[in-house]
Amino acid sequence: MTQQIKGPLKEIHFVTGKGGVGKSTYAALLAHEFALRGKKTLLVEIGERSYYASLFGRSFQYKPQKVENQLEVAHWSSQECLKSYVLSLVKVQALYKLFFENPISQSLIQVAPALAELSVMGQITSSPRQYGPHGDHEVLVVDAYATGHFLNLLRAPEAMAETIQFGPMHEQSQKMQEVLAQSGMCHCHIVTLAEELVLTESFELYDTLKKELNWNSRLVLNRYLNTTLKARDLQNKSQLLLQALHNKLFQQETAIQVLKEKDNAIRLMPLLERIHSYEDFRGFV
Amino acid sequence: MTMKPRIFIQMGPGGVGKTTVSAAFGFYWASQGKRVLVLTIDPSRRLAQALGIQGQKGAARVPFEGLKGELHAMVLDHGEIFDSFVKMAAKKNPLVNKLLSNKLYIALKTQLQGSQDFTALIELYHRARSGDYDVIVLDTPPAEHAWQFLEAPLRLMTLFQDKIAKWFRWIGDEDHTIWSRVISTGTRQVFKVLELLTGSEFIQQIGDFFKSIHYFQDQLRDQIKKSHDLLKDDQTEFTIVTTQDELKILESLEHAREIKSKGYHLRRVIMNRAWPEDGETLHLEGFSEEQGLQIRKLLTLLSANQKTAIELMSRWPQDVRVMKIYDTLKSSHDLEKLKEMSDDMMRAFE
Repeated sequence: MTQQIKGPLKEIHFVTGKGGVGKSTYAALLAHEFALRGKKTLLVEIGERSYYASLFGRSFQYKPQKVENQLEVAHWSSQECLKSYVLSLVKVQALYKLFFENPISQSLIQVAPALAELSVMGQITSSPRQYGPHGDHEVLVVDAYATGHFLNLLRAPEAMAETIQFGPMHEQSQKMQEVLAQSGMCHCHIVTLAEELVLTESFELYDTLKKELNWNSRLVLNRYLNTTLKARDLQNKSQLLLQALHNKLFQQETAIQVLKEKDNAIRLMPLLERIHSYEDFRGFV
Repeated sequence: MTMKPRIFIQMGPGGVGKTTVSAAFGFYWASQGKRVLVLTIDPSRRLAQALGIQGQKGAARVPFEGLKGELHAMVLDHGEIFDSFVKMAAKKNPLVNKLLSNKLYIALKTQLQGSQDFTALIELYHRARSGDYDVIVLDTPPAEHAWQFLEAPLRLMTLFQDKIAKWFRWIGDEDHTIWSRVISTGTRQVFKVLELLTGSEFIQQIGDFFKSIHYFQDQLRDQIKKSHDLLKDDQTEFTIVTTQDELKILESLEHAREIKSKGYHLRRVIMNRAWPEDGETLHLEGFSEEQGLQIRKLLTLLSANQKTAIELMSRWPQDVRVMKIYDTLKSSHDLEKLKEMSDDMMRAFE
């Protein structure tokens, strides 16, 4: 189904991958590249922890903050998203305060499984749905959850639409599903490493996204060793360090081969000596 | 009375190879002549195949020739464990079927944060009591914080707290009038927002859930408490599995602090895919000059990446033993690989 895109937002880029593969760093790089090309970009981290606080050296909240020309960063915790969603529904500040300060509704939020994910998804898609608060960005880069939790996030609208058969929540859940299926709107980047377990998980995710949403995800191989050396140059060496290097190169060669079978345009992100601040990063681009 | 088995709980951040290390750890004990069970969460297809537990229900013996003891492995099926746990607590009460088909219950048993941790613990408790094993190794779900696992039972218990449960049961009651007088106007307003948010059908499901769980809440609480007590038992030891990656070590140090401060027995850290210490001179005979340069460049880059990680390693608690599994495993066969890893462990144990 093709739908006319309303509002300024043209593209949503989700960045995911197994825990610790470097998705946040890659998401920041991606956002930086869009900003360099003159697109008004919002980089968002979801979840409770903030990685960008240490990368950019300052804390981020719900409201986007400018970090460079055309680039803003925000931190959307599910609690915050739910608040904004509830407020847009009930419209009365006092009532919404009453709701959030009540221990019973707090425990319900914990129990209702898809509610937190749904409100985050609602926030991400608020611009194309023209519902709830949204900014004027053209590109949204979401530093999303790790694999399993990420799928829960994407599946939340469908789950909710099934659980609740009518009412505003049902309608909006359906609209979120439409945004996810809208061609050209959503893109997914799976960050991976040249390690067997990580690769397997990335491929499973790639296939699931293809099957459920018909997305062709981009595969990104992080910590790539940029060298002309081949694993076979280092075969049968007795020194432990050379053996370890042989293993690394062998894993990398195997990984690139299998990755290219899925996505011919894989992206290679070289291993850098350090990325501790945003400045290290800009030097890299 | 049967002998209590030694229990090893393997914790650590995601993506460090915890499942493989847990299997290798079990392999080590089996090679020492013990009857071992490895309870695992989500093994890769290859590992499951190698262990012979792919698609298996329950525990299966791992086919490896020449082991002195026995190695058994089992993939935890959370939904199934949760169901049988509830059925057992309900003791044939017919209401249990209503609960098992409740939408909220179904979502709860698979999706609620901590429900996987909880079912892992329940299974551990039952296997520990069976007397079938000398050693049980539990591979825990990856978690950002150690408390997510340690406190899963207690968090689940708060669900059954009477104050909250009572409130939800009211929704399930057909006669709202009695309760309407008891609950305050404020609470009723909150209820209205909830209904707006989630729809009346969902609210009804919640009410049903708490009504049907009410009848066996005491047994549930009792079971949860017993399995939690097992974690603090003297026979239960915690291991942290991590890699030599700065972020993973930082996360693991945090885990170590949490485990120790809550009084659990943290005994060892297993550093998986450890990078060999440099310092010795490289023997680069037989390489061209260009190759030699490339090798040095890569090794410098890789060791620069390890620098902070190595500095951080000195921060482990004093009484915790650090064992390394090097990133130089030669075998491509998975069971052989487990043996190689287990040999690395043996060296560290001696």
